[in-house]
Amino acid sequence: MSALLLSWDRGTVVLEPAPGGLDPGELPGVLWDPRVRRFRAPAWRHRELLATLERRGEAVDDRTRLVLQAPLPWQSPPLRAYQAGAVAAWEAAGRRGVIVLPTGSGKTRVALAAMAGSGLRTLCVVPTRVLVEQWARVLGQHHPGEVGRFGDGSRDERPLTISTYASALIHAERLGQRFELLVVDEAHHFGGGGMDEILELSLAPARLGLTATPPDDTARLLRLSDLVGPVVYQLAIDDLAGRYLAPYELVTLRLELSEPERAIYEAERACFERVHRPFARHNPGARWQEFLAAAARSVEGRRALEGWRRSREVVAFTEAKRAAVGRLLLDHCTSRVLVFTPDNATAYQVARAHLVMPFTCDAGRAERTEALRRFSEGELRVLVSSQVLNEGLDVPAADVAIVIGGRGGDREYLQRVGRVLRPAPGKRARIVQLVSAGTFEEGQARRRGVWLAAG
Amino acid sequence: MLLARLLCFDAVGDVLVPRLLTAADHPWLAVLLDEQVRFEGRPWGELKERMGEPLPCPSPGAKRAAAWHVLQGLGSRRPPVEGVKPRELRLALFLEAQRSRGSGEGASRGAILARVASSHGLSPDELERALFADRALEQLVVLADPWPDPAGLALLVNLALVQGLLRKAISVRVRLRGNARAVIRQAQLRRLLCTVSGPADGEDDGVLELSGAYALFRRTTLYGRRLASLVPVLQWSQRFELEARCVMRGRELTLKLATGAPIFPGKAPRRFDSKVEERFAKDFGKLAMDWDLLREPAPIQAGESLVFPDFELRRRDGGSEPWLLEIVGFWSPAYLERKLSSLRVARISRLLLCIDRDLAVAEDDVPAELPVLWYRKKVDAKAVLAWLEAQEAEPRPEPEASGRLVTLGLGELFLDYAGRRPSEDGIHARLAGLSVGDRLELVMRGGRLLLVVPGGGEVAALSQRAAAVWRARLEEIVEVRVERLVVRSVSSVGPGYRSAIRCEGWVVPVVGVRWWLQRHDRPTRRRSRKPTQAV
Repeated sequence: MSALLLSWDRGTVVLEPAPGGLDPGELPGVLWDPRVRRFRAPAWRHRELLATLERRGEAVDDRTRLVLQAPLPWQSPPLRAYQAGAVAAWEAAGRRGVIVLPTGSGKTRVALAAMAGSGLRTLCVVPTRVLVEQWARVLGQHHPGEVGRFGDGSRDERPLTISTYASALIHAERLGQRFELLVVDEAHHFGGGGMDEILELSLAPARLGLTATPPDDTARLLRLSDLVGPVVYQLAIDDLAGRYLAPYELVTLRLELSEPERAIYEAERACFERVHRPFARHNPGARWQEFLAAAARSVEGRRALEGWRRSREVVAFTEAKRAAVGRLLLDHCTSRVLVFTPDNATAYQVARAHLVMPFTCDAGRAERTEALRRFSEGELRVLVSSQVLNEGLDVPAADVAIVIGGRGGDREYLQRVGRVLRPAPGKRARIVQLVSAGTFEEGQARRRGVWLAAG
Repeated sequence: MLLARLLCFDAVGDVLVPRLLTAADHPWLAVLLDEQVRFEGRPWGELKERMGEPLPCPSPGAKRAAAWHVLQGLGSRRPPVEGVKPRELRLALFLEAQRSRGSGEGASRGAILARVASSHGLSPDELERALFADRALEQLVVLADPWPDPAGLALLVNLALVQGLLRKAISVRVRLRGNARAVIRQAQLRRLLCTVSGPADGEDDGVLELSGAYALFRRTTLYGRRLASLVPVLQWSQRFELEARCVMRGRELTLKLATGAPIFPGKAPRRFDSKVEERFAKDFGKLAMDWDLLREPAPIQAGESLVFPDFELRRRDGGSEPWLLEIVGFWSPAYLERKLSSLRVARISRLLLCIDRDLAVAEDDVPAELPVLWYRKKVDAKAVLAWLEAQEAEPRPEPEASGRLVTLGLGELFLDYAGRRPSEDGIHARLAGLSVGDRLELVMRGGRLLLVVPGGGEVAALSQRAAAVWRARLEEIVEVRVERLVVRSVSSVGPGYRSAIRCEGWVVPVVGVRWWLQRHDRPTRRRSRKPTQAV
């Protein structure tokens, strides 16, 4: 019997039926492509396609995958009980699924165990170039071979390769057929369409998603489930705090605005409320995006958005916050402190004013690596950052987080807090959030306190 | 190209209309340019802050933001303090500050700065300025040279805007004349799928449909950046019409652009693919005054793809068919096979191949019927001319002895014949099963002269005019074969005839007909210069 031929074409699978064979149009995900007069399927459905063909007893000549060098055998680091449970749950789910563990609980170790246990060629996709370095370093400590890197000027492919999302997207049409396992770090970024093509253009039958904060949007979660797999294991901070995560103390400092700051804040906020209040009343449950779209259509709406932006700018780094940061740095001069700012400009202001090292996207790889090394060795005891330290970066020595402000909402907050929760003997983490009294920041802080306990 | 948040456009129905800058914008553009000049030598951060405020004259905010974005790309930067290494300074300063804090010494900020500055041979003020001298916003503004005028800036902004909009494109359709080779080359380079519908008339090189492989499955803007890269290349076509399907804020809109759009031309494309071609064109041009050398002749359909010969060489007196010349400067067995296969499918008979001896191509690798001129380093224009003159001097073979081959092009076919049948009609299935090279038959049925598959149903009909000519020749026809398949859709039908169309798209087979010449004369109209139509 002649076989159905499957071949790779730029992130898709092209199907060529044998004369008189089955009609590929009946198979899941397969469409007729009039541009090339062939049947075509998306790469991410390749596993499902093969399973269907096998079930139907069809002969298949699968030439999609390249025969490439496998990783050398290697041992993953020892796992804690809950980490081993997470890996077992992923294996039981057919090597597809998302593991939800709080920041600082060792998600990277879970991924390492999955990679070593499966022995598959693996591509790990991570959000930033800083995380590429971190993953490569950790992987290099356990895997005897070289670790490949994509991103930050590197384009080095190996059986175990780490890539930024951006590079993985650019090279998706090529990388898609070269790996058998996809590890998706900070998987909550996917499912919304923006970068889903990284997952969609990949043949990898095994997929592992890692996150501390799964998407709360159902549609997004379902899409993530299609592309990576369902949530197969989940624990919250309070499940681990005290034993596997450092115990922590949350301190909120209410700081008054100065008179000029208060005047500007009230005026700008009033501009915003004049439009937002009636909108919220007439559209109960409407999302922020919907308000943005509606406001952009009128002059008053655009002014309201401008007012919203300016009111946030006023409270971002007030005089009182400036003074408080100075005091806190003196109070915690023997601790390792991470200062989180709402933007880079504020990070540089803090760096200049208090002579502390900024850790931003402007710095090159060598400078970032050196700063982290000196921080972990205690030569530098303060790092100030707006975005780069938000996600995934392992700074186990840090025990104090000062949160001046942020733009990324509750998820960003939780990720930031997680930076100081890595356990260490005798460690008690301290999270200090600076809140401008009588502003929207108060409500935010209350909500986050509750969320932190739950999340 | 502009970022998504800077794109200014209007949605008129389903059409995306970019808000291009016009002469009316030149006054405020002039003020904007003056503001940049004022900030020359000052930190970029200050200029950025200034640009966040209104100009001293009325200026549309969105357009101004777009222009400012383009200007940032034009200018360059220089460090505020020369001869220092900011990274080393930072580390020294922050380590010293940490040491001071940790030791409980409690030195003031000024004292720490002074200490570190003196150890680096700087003043505290210089140290402060040099601390982040490698950061873009702290570097000083250097104006572009040459500095654009308002009109030039407007064109640059328009190009950036159009490319920004195309970044949101799912697919692009381009009808163009001239420079098709460069557009297709760019599309292939960017790994786009490019399908070519043959020229519907003699006016255009064809219609290119460009998209990415995965675009079949969902509205993805994954290929937007690649599609946008085609715009500068289009500028060098004699004529183009571009239609792009773009996704803007979740809505699908069509962007239309055509020749004459006020878009700054990109850098002129290379005129030649290689130095060898360039040298040959120059030498031949000087040497052969009786011949014209056309650098980029019209593409020739070869099955489902197009062949772009390097040169067309034509006698000035127009007395004979032109010759095509192809320089093979790159060789691999697969490449040569692909190239020769395309040339065979295209049935180019008057072709001279020039092959580089250093490529180690064995003479056996080249089919014996193809004339080859071997060269080393450069194609000898004298040898080419001598060969051409010799060919022209030779008596032409008697085509009548072996039968005449003509192409029944779109002008001879009833183009909407299949389009007037619903998509369930069997004609569409028969057309879908056709391939280039398939044999067909010409038969009279119901007063029409039809093209039918052997022993079966019709796939196309001749136009009434062509039928009048061919009805009398039916007995002399030796064979009819499909030469190419042209896809048509409702949009390619004249408005007056659209109501008769009953399906979305259909295929029209262009066929080559070979017949024995007995009593009929040659066609009286001037023969096309395309070798496919030559005897």
